[in-house]
Amino acid sequence: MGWWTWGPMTGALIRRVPADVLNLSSGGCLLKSAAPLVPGLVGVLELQVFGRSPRDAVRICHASSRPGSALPYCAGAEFLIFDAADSSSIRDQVARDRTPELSSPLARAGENSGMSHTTPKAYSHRQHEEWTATSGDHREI
Amino acid sequence: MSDRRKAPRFAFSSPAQAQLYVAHDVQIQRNGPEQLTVVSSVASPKGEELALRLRGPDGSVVTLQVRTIDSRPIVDDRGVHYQIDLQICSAGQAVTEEWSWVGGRGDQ
Repeated sequence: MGWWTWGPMTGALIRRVPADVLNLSSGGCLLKSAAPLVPGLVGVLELQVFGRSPRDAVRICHASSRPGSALPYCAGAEFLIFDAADSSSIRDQVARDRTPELSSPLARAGENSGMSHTTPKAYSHRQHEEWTATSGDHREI
Repeated sequence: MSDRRKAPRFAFSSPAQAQLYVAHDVQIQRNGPEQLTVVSSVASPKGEELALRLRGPDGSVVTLQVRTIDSRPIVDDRGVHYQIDLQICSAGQAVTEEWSWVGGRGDQ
């Protein structure tokens, strides 16, 4: 039976927004995109790293813009939890310290999408040893 | 969640590429094998490429890759909505699947 014979129905129109993930934690991540992401927006974020595509549902918490850059919109997103994280989840990758497998060495992140100053975030000595630190980007947005 | 994350955060030394998939409910007004018209609360610019997920009466789901041909505002008893004409670029086979609309099992 062809889908066009299904009769009256509803559907979901899904828009794909390419984004860069600047940093992440077990609770959320920081995104940059060419299109604005408004606070409250809910979607599924799919990372593309080393042939894997872990994903999680997210909600945009706060956003700002940097006019003039290639990806002028910056947004902080929180992971939405509906169930235990499985191996296809970004949260699982972070929780199991698999993150170094997902990308090149990670650094402490001081960047966020807020306007106020924040100090560099705490990180464990073990993580310091296992994850090669780089200079990172400590600019405030 | 509070305004800011409390857990330690770690930055990629070079940004990781990602896709954010955002879904909106639509009502199918007219459908056919090559084009269809939907009503959405969100406009879509001409030429935008989208995925349309449809669930049939038997619970099966089909994903259509579509492109916006035209989008125009309409006013009905629910307020302003957008009537969007979509060109079907490709259609996957209808499959029965569990929760997952991003590259879900069996999707084309």
